[in-house]
Amino acid sequence: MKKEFLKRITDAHSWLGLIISGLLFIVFFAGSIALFRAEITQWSMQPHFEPSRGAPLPVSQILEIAIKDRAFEPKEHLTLVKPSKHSPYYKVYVDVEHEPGQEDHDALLIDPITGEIIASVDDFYLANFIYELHYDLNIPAGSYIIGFITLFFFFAIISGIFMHARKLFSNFFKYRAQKQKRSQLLDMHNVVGVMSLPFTIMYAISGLIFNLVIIYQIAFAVILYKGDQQALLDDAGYQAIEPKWTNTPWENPKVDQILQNIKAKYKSEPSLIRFYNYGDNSAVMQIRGEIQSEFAYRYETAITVSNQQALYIKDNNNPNTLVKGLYVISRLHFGDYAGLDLRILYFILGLGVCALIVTGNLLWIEKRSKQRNHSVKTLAFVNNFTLWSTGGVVLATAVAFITERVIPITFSQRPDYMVYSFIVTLVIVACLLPVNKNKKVFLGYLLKISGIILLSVVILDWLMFGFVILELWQQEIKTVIATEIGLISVAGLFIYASNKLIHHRKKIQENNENNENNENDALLVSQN
Amino acid sequence: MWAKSIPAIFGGCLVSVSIMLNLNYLLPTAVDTRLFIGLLCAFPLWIIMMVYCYVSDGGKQAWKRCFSVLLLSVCLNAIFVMR
Repeated sequence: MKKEFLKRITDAHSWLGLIISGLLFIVFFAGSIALFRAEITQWSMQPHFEPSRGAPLPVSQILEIAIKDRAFEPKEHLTLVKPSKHSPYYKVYVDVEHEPGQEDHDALLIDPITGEIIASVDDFYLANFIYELHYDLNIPAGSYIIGFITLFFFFAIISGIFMHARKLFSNFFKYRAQKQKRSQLLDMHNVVGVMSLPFTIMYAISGLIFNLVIIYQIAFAVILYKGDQQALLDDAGYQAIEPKWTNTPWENPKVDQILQNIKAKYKSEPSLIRFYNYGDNSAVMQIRGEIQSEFAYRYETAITVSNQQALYIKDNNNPNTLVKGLYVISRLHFGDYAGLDLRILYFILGLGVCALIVTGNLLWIEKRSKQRNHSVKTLAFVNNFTLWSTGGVVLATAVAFITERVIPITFSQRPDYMVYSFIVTLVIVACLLPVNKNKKVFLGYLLKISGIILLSVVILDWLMFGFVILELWQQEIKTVIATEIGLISVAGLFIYASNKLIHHRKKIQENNENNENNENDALLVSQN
Repeated sequence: MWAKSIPAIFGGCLVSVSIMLNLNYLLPTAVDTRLFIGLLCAFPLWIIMMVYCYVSDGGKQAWKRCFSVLLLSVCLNAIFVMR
């Protein structure tokens, strides 16, 4: 490969890598946690409600409970997500009449056995907040920003391959622990980059498809389909369901029987049911389910409630390559096609990429600080920015966890305060950054505080809900304790890393002081 | 670097959209399969163009490279559209 080619690609790699590093760290850090969002939601929610025992109520009854005394807008949707292992309550989304700017739906958690509306889905927002942080930063147009960040990340991967191509195999396990700092950082960057390569390529492509597909969708709709967006969506396997409102109430709707038939056909419980024109003679049920025994096998159908006629069926007998392909990609992305062990592996790889990002920035700082014409202000900014977007985000996430646990569920603005705690922590860290001269030690303290907070979350769990947690364990509901084990492990990792950072720095300081004392002694001896 | 980044992002996007359309006209498969193959190829194509732009001497050469590939691809699309 030509020297000039390598030089230019290396410049672009480090320049783009530095620009995207902060947001990319958030994407990977939040994404790694979001792999366990079902578990985190259950950890957050379950100790507040003792699980009921008995036979579950039929879906038709749950739907009636959900819309009772509510300004339900039947011409819109009524959506129900069935309980699952980590989500033991019905989630019902009721579209309601609303003024512009107001919430257009109520999201309810309903006990499947008692039929009691126990809370709003949004009351336990932590896991979804972290997940949204991963894909759209919780800001308008955030998904497009993340899309372009992913594009540059993909470029960084490919340019990294070009840069490292000749040594890809020979230096595969090379790590010069005893050498100088730059060699260590470079080896760490390369080893993590090469080892996580298939994983990062998969994440880059799938992330781009999720966030930037709109570009190609628009181009195709305009050029190939002459502006007919619906024709494109039909070919892509996304049928529109638009039944005409007849103003005639339905008679004897056999909702439960339809669901039984679907369950018998696919030998799998439907996971999502959505009604169009609920209560009208024209009502349509859209039903979706997954067959867990097979990889990426999902079925979807739409059935008229009045005469049980299927409007469309999408399953292995009526496949659409795009729908199936995208589903395969999404399962690869979320790592939910195997057991917990696979998600733990994804989590470790995700944190590995976080380390890749940090080492990349540190390499840039090292390289730039050795250049004669370097700008002190730029270096200080990159130093602070790296610290804020890594240690700051880690601490803010830990604070969000403890806020989620301590705020009572009776507090109506519970989710808002959890988000505020996250933002306020980030602001505080940003304010403290300029006054701290030793960035490594500061990062060490940020990690230590994060670890202590996570340990406090577990202690608070047992102080607040000890008996409930034990009862849940006896009922084979182990998610709460498993999540606590996860929190303790991560806290241990943070405290270990912080000790390394702080003690390493202290050692250097002590060595410097000793050297200075020795020099002074030698000077005195020579003077005498 | 900004001078190369603009053609890399916008030029690369246009080229990848155009080549995706080429693929859609050329591939002898069902429409859903064509759409899926196109989607899988689109972003790697964009990245290839980004690499091509970033290894250019400057912004001007990067734009030239984008336009030369785009011209070929657009001509091919025009033939299919007019057929």
